Amino acid sequence: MSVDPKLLFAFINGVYKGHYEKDAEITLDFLKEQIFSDDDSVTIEVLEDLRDRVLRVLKEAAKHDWDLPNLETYIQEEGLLGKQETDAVIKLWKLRKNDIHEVVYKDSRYNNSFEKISWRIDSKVKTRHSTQDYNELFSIVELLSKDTQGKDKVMRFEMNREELSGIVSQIEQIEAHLNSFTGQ
Amino acid sequence: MDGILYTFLGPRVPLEVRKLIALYPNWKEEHIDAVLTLVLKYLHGGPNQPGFTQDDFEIFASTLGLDEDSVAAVFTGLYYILRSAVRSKLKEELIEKDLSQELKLTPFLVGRILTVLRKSQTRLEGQLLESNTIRGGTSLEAFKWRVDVGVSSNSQSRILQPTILMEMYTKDGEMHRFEVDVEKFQELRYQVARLHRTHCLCVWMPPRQSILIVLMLFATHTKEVTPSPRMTWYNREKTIDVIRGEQRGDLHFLSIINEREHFAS
Repeated sequence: MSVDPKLLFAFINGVYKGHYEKDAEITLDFLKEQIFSDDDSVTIEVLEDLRDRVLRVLKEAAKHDWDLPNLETYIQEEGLLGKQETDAVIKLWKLRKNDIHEVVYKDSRYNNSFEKISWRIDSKVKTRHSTQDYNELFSIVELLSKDTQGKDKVMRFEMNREELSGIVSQIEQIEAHLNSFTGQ
Repeated sequence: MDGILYTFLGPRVPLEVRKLIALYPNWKEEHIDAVLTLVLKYLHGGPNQPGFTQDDFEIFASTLGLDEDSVAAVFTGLYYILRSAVRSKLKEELIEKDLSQELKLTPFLVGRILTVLRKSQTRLEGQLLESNTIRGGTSLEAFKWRVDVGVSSNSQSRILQPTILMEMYTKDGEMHRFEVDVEKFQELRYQVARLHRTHCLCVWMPPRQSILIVLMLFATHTKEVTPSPRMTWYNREKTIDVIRGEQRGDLHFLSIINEREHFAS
């Protein structure tokens, strides 16, 4: 396929967005209309074939976490892409390698994933059920996680100072394990 | 008795207690003891425990040979006295003085009430506090975690990246399991550390400052307050930029809201 390199890269970047960023709006028809609307020689079938070859290369590269020379060698050995297409894929890999790696890694996780923590500290000052004033502090914590379908799950609970100290010490233990793994 | 009479029961003697005072002198001591035991059981276990249905109460009244209404009135009166005495946290001598001199209860009943309070006050105080604690949510029962290192998958031949699998069990019986990657873990660790530091900082809140803030908050009708220079002592933690007061039920709360992110109570 011989086209303007800029248009070719735009198409390959579109393939990346559609597949890895899961942008449902970026379909082959959309790419054809947006990038190659003036070029009748570039049909949907041609684009479909190119998309499949590009994704095959990207999947292999992501699987083995290749650097650029390895990627280039693989494309040449397999003869999957032409010169222009190879250049465009290498450019994309240079830009998006970490993002692709992250997406592939996340796709292989099957548990809910932690998203966000919010907290608040309340001080109970007075209650009808006691004539005494007291100043009891407690933290309200809200944890947001997402399930594998992307649905939010909220967990909210309270902790007093002792419970909070317990969690802090647990987190310190986790951090120590992580540091021992990463060698810090 | 209809006028204002300041006792641990409040400025007026409640109707329930007045009914008790009118009824119990005709009762046998063992009947009063039986009802007092039942009241104590009720205070400890609450209304949902077995033995407190309408039928149970009828059976109880018939075993005493008394009519159900009288038993109910004495039960309620004794319940009011015991609950108010526990809430008041007054010294035994003051309660005794109120019972005998102001309410003019017989020495037998005063003695029985004081005996019950002596034995059960600490437990009852704890129960009252626990049962009336309005909580923003449940509390945490258990926290389990595991650090995993992914080795390989169908889409990645070499992962070697640690993740933390966390399981949290709340006291309402729910379990939440989620995975935390290293980046998110650092965010979690930072926020928990900040929460802990702020929590510890607030423990040492000087009482006078607390009262000042409470007054300011009530004066603003529980709206958000922009920290004024007088509150800067409280703002040592830069991230605390909003202090909010709110009233939930009977409880007045001071809230420190993290980065203006807060959730509905």
